[in-house]
Amino acid sequence: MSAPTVDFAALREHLAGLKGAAYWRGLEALAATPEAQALIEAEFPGAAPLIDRRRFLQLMAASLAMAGLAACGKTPEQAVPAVRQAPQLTPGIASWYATAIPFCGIAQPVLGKTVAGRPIKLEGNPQHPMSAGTCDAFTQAAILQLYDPDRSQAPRFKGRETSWDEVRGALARQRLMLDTSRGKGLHIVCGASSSPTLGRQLDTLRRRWPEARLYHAESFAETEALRTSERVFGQPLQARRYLQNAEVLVCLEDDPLGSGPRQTPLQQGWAERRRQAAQGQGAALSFVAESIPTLTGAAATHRLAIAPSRLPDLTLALSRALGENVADQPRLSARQLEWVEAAATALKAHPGRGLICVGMQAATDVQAQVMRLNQRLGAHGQTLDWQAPTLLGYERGQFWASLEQLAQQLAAGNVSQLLLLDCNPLQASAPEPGLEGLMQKVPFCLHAGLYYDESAAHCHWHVPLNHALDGWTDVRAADGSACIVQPLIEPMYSTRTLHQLIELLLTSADSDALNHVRSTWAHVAQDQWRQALADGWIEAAAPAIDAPEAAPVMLNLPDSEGLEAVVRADPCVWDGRFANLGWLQELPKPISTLTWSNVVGLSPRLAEQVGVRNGDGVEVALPGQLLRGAAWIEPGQADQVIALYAGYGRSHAGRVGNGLGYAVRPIQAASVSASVRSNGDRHALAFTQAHHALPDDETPPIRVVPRDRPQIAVQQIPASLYTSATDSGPQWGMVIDLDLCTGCNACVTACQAENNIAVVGAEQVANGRSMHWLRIDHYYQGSLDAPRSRFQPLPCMHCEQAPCETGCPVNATVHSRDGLNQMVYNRCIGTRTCASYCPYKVRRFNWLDWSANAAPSIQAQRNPEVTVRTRGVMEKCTYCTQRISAARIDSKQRGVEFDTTTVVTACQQTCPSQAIRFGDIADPASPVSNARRDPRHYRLLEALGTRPRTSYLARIEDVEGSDET
Amino acid sequence: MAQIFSRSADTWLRLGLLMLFVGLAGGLLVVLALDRSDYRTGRNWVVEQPLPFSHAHHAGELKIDCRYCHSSVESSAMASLPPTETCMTCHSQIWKNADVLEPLRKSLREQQPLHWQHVVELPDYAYFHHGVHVNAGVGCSECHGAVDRMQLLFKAEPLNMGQCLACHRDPAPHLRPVGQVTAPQWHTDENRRVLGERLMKERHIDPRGLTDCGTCHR
Amino acid sequence: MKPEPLLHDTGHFVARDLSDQQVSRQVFGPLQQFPRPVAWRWLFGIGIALLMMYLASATVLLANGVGMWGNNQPVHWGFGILNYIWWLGIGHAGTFISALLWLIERPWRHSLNRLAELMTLMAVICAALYPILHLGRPWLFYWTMPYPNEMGLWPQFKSPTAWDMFAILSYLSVSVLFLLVGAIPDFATARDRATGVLAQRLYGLMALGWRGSQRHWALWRQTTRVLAMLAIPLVFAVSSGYSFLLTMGPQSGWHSTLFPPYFVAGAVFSGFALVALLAIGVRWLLSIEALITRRHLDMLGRLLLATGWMTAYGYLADLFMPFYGGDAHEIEVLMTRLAGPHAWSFWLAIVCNVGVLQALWWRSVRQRPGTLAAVALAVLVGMWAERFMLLIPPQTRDFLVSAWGGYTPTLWDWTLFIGSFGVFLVPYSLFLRYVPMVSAFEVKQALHKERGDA
Repeated sequence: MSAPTVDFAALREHLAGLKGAAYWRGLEALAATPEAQALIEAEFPGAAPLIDRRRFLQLMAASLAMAGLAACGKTPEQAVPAVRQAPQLTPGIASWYATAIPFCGIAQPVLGKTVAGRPIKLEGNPQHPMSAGTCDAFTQAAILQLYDPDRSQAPRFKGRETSWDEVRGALARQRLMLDTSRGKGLHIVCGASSSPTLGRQLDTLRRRWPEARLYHAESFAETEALRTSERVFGQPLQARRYLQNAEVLVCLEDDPLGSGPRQTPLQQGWAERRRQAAQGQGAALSFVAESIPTLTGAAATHRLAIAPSRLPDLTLALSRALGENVADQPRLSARQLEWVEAAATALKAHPGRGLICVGMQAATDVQAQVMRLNQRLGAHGQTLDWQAPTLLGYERGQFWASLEQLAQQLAAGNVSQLLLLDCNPLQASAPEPGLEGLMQKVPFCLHAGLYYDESAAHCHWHVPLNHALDGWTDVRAADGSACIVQPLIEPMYSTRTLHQLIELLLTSADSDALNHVRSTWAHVAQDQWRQALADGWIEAAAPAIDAPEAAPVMLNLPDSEGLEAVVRADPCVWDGRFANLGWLQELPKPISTLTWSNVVGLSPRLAEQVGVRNGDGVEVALPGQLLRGAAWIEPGQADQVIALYAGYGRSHAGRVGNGLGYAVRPIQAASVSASVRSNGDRHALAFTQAHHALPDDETPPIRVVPRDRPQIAVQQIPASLYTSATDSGPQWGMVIDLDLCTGCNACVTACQAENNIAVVGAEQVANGRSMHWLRIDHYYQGSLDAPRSRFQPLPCMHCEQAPCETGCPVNATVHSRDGLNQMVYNRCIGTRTCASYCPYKVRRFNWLDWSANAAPSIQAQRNPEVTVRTRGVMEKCTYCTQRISAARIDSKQRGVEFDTTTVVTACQQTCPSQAIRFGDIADPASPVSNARRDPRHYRLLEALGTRPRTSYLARIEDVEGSDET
Repeated sequence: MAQIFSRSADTWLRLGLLMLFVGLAGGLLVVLALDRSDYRTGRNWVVEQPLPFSHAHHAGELKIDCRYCHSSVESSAMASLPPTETCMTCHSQIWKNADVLEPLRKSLREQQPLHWQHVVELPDYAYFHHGVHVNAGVGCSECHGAVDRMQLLFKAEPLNMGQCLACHRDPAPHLRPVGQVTAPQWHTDENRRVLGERLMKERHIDPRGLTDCGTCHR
Repeated sequence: MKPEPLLHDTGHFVARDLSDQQVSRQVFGPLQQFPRPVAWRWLFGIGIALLMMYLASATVLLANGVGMWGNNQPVHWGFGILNYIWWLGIGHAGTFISALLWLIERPWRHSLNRLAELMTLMAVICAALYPILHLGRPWLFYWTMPYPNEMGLWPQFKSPTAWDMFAILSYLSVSVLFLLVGAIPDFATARDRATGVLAQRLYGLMALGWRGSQRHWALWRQTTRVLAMLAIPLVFAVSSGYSFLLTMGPQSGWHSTLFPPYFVAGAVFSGFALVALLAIGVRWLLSIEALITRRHLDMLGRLLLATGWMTAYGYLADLFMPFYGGDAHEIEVLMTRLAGPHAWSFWLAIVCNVGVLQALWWRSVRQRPGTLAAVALAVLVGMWAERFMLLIPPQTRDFLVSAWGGYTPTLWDWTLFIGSFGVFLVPYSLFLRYVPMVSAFEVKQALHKERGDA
């Protein structure tokens, strides 16, 4: 079909015309042109394809988080007591264990909640500084991965299931050869890991087989940063950033607030800084120069959209402005220089309180120069310090080899045994192409991993590994402290830990998983060990290493004209390792709110040139890659840049993750030159927020106040004839601080895990039927090419005068005395009147039976404290009423006064920046009451007189107006 | 022309109409009655169990406290059934070879739990917490009846939503001193309401909000 | 052109000299021998086909859930409510004709009331099925009815959705009673003319032993008058009742005090359209042009025109109010109705219900069956579009921009809607065969009265 392009001129004009704070959601509705109108129709949810039944059922089987057992109806007939009761377990009472989830080799410390031996929920470990009780979306979803029915469940040989004895035999044969060859021909590829136990085992292995070679396979690893630090400081050093001290944060193509292994502590720091700034203690300025919109950019006070190829010039200019004596002239536009000046002035104005961050994909010399600048700014010890690398991959003065080198070795035929340990280098979006072809010649290939994935499919042998929640290991957190990973449940399938596998290779012994870890920490006394298991960490953070003076760097300034492509990890499935988790696939990607696919991001100007609109097929040519994907117009993206996202286009991810989006390999540079053209296809994209502009004379849902006068004009609540519906006991209320919300989605996933919320699949999302109780609305504000982003989490408002309650013919939604808007699923007959009457549209309906035929393992994940909803029933945020009940019952049992501060909702609990406050608004001393007295406090759609119990604190803005490129 | 209808036709028609009306009204009444009947609530119906455990013997004659077997009833939502080992504490000594206890010994031998049949079934959308009721002074027999007189266990009360509501609307007459909760045959000469209201004061039991849907449905 | 002379310048609109025998032959003849059997078979056949479609669609719906429809967040109410309102509205004209015109003694209504009442009956049934099918858990529909239960649970009488149940039930029962009672004397005649024993007995049963004695007539008049008086308020109560479904919500574009009268007018309007269509069809099928004359069609045309303008006033007020009120969001919603993706529904309604309607100013158009049928058809389409325009667009433009969405009905929406005509047609075509479609005895009375002979 011919793709009429959107009339961008009209859009710009329209936006320029809008008075006041112009809020808009997307491009199409802005233009009054017929093309744009046509586009809107095309994008209407209803217009999306009908349910593809097969796909739908796959989803059902694979990761719908509810069904059968717990569905409204009869309980199982039988009651089965234990034969022997475990001493510490009481039936019906949850127990918590401290452990950690490794992600890219970095520990996410958590507490795991288990009921009747089933882990059902993960929460951050309050004991651990790198979590402080919070965690990100990936960690929340780890529990689903544990139960993923598509996890590999038994060893395989040439694709056929086999026994561990076979594996032992095979490994024993290889061992004989290796002992004779002193390990020559043994090549081991590892995913990023910081496990001391693994390090110890690999040392033993290297001592026995010195000729063996080790390789790194991590798509978005920090090895480049380490190499640079080695170049700069003479030894590889790993940075620890303390954003809580960074009054001036300068980010060069870096996204510290975005998803990644360090997201949680960084967000905490950032939020802490903003909190203090809001109280007048110091500034909270952030200057972000980036090519594509990120969460950090969305939170920036001064954002600059710039092509990665201009980074060296920008760095040069910054160095010059900070007093470095550099010879050559940066080639920058006035606007860019202006940004540099502003950043430099701010940095100089806050000595020792500034921090410059640079993306790990940036060129080495840029990174080196930034290290030097930070040193000169006196950042060390303040906003930044250094520690010895915690990630494995650097020993005896040299780094592990890269996949590139592996490819050479394979080509040269030097490889006789190839072990792929807990990595997936053959995945379509892995760094090195063409490995599978080269591997054909290798006599012995073994893959060990969580899934029977692309790499497994190309190896002779595949052995399934334990999930972090059902096996023993250890891992280091972002600050270098060591966490013990202990299983919350017996291994679900016939799996082994990586440590057991290596032991099997070395000695053929069927070893005990715990022993490996324990013997690594043999020096720790038993009682300390028990304490460590209770706390979740065994070794505190290593003290900082003071780095030597960094020498000035000669920046080489590449010329670049034409387009360049950047490849980023997907914010929801990362490099594809989470591709089979329905929760994360259905998680709306920040800003675009897209689900279930990746897109090719283009700036409005570029889209105009290429002549494409959202969803049009484009063909992107990179050196060595040609890919076809759906175009997506990303306002605020640099015009020369094509944004690509890894993690999709997988063939062996599992029933949920297969065949979504396009595949792209990460590039080992900030960007590569590329070209893009429309190929006339049309893709149906599933997004959760349709694209419209807010009529400029309506009150914006997100209020913004200036830093110097942080208060909003008080709006009078219309008088009501009705008295408040609630009178006794605690009165629940929630306040969300929009100044701290980064839009990171952790709360959405936490809510999904806690409340058994269904995954419905791309087709249903496209039909406008996503089930998230808590959604994060996103709006653009300002100009088309450089808009600002605004996030607003939207749970149920629990209105005191709730329109939904008058609508229901059967009293299925009614008000409780403590101010909850209750939803009684088993009384609901599904007239949907409540949802029609809800001004906030926070109610979700079970249009079909999302619960049917969910895999048994998935059913095991469900929270037994929350009813599973059947078809035809309305549902919505309950303020985690099950947690309120639990707390109330607990206080009653202990015969003490109900302490309302013990009630913490799932979203509030996990929020890394603690933007959500919940509690008793009748108690003037409660945090939530304090928040409601804040001059920034406001209610959504106050004029309707619904008296919402959920309310907001306005966002604080440091600068007036919005920035341009 | 000939008559179409017989003489009595008119009467029959009226009768028919009457019947129709009575049928409809009566039908409704029958349904409503059934809704409350033991047939639906399963009250007084003995459930077949893997082995004929007699509460009358254990709780009644031997006066074993409820909590000896239902150990978590004070702390947890579930009263919990005793693990096989609990039974064996005695039955490894007495009735060692009784055929009737074979299933029990088998369970221990093969480490396979006994599969008891539910006597009281709680729907998944209703949440009942034993602990909080026990600690509030609601006696076991309030809901489970005179278990100590039951040779084979059966449901002594309808235990439908109506019964739950009745007590949640007006708990006082159903409360007793906490010490007496597990006493099956406890009775007092004092007026239950007076006693109950005193106990409620002592334990600051606030009945307000007890009838909120969210108290039992989540 | 010069308007043709007004035919049959009589109160009952039929030829002054029409004899009782002729009337009887015209009305009861078809019961023995149908004038146009082929045409009827076609009608019935089509009806059956549509009915099958309806059943199939309903089965799929019940098996899978309302997800088969195009409804979504934020458009929680789609075709289910839309067609409910449309069908129920249509029903009202029957009651209007049979009851109101009876009370104010308009003799010409005697030729039309039977077919109109039958239409009402079927329209209400078509409508009543929708709210049940539209439920998420249809098998629990009876929870909206008050009945004593051990849980002590009752419907919530604040909710307009709960009112629906009562509205429909009372309306249905009154319509049925009115129909049966009104037809007793005719059933008696049919009984007397019937040849087969079975026919005799069945008609006899319906006639409830009517002998036409003075006492019977007295009782009959009383009953009819009472029922008529009951029915009239229902016309207004029911249609304002379902307008509350929309007005009780805070949703801009729904939340309006204008809706109740607006909906009453629209209801009767659409009803007359279908009556006109049926009248034209019936007079041809039974070839009773002598009983349902062009003068009748002319009158129906006038009624259409009148009620059409009442509805048009509703449109005007609805356009005016948002600007008068000046609320930004109200205006936004209005503009969406006018220019949004569903603007077709608004303009279709305007074109059909206001534009095409004006043709009825010409008597020739009113009196020519073909043209009148065309206009009536247009009005039915237009009224459906109007219901769409009132119901859907406001939902797609919610208070929060983030919640805005769209709506596209699916195959199953359409099959159920189109199939619902089968639900209407099958019984109706059977009525054509076995029920006296004109109130013969009343026509005769009118004739006598007109002629002034005792």
